[in-house]
Amino acid sequence: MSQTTELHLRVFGALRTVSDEKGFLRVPIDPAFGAKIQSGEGSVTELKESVRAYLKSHHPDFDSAMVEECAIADESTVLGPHARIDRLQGWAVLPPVCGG
Amino acid sequence: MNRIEVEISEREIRLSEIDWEALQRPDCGASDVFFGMVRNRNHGREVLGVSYDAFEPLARRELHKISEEALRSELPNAHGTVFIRHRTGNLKVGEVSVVIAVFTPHRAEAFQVCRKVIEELKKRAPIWKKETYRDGESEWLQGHALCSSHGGGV
Repeated sequence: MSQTTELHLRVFGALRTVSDEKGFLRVPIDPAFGAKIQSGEGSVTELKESVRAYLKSHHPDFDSAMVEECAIADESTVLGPHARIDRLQGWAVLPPVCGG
Repeated sequence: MNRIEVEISEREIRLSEIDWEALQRPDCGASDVFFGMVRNRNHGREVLGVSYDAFEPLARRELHKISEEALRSELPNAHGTVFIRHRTGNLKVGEVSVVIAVFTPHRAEAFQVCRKVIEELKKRAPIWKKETYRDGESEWLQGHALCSSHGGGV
């Protein structure tokens, strides 16, 4: 029996409305992307596309297009467009910011 | 040497509890302090309160970086202090959401550094706010998209 591979992502701001109570989203990913992550070759674009697709199917009332404006980060760095996704956990999805 | 202190916390900011004397330094003759507070109106809607959310580890790093950049650009041959405290959690109208205190040798740099820090904080710190309105609705506010050049990205 095959097991679904999922990204375990921290989310903030507007994305909190679709997260669990601790602020996480579990996003299933397709096997091809899973294989790329395992080999350290996943892309930020693929990660964002996985989140967008998940929101579209599981939260159709949520504006999934806003994922395009989100940054992907870990606890120390905002990833650039060419950064590699090499693990399923430890990433955060950051909507546009407005502190102060 | 520059001194930078950043705190992001759910704890209420009481101005009387900040140890201003401990922030002063003998080489600094000027200080500028900025307070941000929750306003009762935004875009014509009556605001009852604001809820702040933050990615704390990254926000602390980014605020350190912003402060260091501002001090270096305005004080290439001297040093100063930046103190930042930012709230998270639920705030009512009138509560202080952010304090930025800057200490520099002269007043012009203090104003400049303080302005730079608050402007960059709004664009670069991973902090979000949700307003709650009198009519019972609430809304996460639109903001600035982060890019990797802000966070020393890879």
